[in-house]
Amino acid sequence: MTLDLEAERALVERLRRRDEAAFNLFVRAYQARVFSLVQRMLGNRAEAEDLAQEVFITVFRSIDSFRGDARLGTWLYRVAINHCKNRIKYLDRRVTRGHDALDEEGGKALTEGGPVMSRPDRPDEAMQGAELNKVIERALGLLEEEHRALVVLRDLEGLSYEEIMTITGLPEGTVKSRLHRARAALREAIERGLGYKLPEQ
Amino acid sequence: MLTDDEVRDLFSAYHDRELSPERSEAVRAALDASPSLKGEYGAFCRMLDSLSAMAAAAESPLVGVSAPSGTDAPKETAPPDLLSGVQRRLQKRSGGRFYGDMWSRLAGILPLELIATLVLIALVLAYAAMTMVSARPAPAPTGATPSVTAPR
Repeated sequence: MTLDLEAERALVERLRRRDEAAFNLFVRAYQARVFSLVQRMLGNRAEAEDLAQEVFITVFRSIDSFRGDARLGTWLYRVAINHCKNRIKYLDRRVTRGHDALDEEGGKALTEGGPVMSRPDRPDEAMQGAELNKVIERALGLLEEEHRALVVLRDLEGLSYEEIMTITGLPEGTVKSRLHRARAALREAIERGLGYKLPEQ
Repeated sequence: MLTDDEVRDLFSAYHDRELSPERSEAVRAALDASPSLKGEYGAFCRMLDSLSAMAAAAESPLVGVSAPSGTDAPKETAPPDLLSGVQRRLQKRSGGRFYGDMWSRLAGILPLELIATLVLIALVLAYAAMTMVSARPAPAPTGATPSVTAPR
C-alpha cells in the first residue's frame, strides 16, 4: 500500500498528534515492507518480529523529527536500517548470534568454502529452487552490515539509488561503489555455498 | 579499450544502466570480444535475477493472511499480531497514556503522586464529614408519645 503525497501529509499530521487510529493505519500500511526489510537484514524471524515492533515504536515517538523532505516510507526505511545495524552489532557482540538461517554446519561450510549442497548434475536446475534462496539468505548473512543493507535495499526491496542515498546518507558515488563490492562479495559467498560457479544466463 | 578487471568493476553500473552511453558501449564491446567475460557477466545477472525472484516470491498483498491451500504461500509476511504487539508495548511504556483504558490513560496523564494526594484528600473529607455527622446533637424525636404529667 502506497499513500499519495496528500494522504501522506495528512497522515503525518495525525501521527504528530499521536492519533492512535492514524498510527494503526500507518502500521498496517507499512508493516509488510518493514518486516520484510528487517527479516532480510537479520535473517532471523523472531528477532525480526521484535525489531519491526521497535521500528514502529520509534516512529510513534519521534515522528516530530520527520521534516518531510523525503517520503514517509523512505524515512521509515532509514529508521529501520539504523535499528537493524544496531541490532546486528548487538547480536555480533553476543556469543550466540541469533542467525537461525546460518546453522552451524551450513555456516562452517560457507566460511570454509565447503559445499553446502551436493553438486547437482545440472546446476541450472538448482538455480530454480528454494534451496538457492536458502543459500542466498545464508550468503547475505555473511556480508558486512553496510554491504548487506545496500543489497537488500537495491536488489530485494527495489529502491532507487536516490532513495538509498537518502536512507543511508551516503553520496551517490559511494553507494554505487559499495553496492558493486557488495554484489561481488555476495556472488562469491553464494558460489562458496553452492560449491560451484553460478551458471551463465 | 577496457581491461577485463575494469569491465568487471563496471558490471554493477552496467546492469543498472548507470553508465554514460560511451562507457556503456565500451563495456558492451568488451563483453562481445570476450566470451569468458560475457559468461561472468551472465552469471552476475543470474544472481541479480535470483534476488529479484526471491523478492517477488515474498511479496504479498494480504499481510498476515494465510494463502489459500494449494497456492504458493508468501515466504515472508508480517506476523498478524505485529500491530497488537506494538500497541501493547506503547501502552506499557507510556504508562497507559496510549492504547490504554480510561483509568490507565488517566494514570498516564496524571502523576502518581497527584493521584495519591487526591485520594488522601478525598478520604480526609469523607472522614471529616462522618465526624461532623456523629458530633451533631441528636434531634428531638418527632411524633413521640406526649409526655404524661402526673395528676396533681
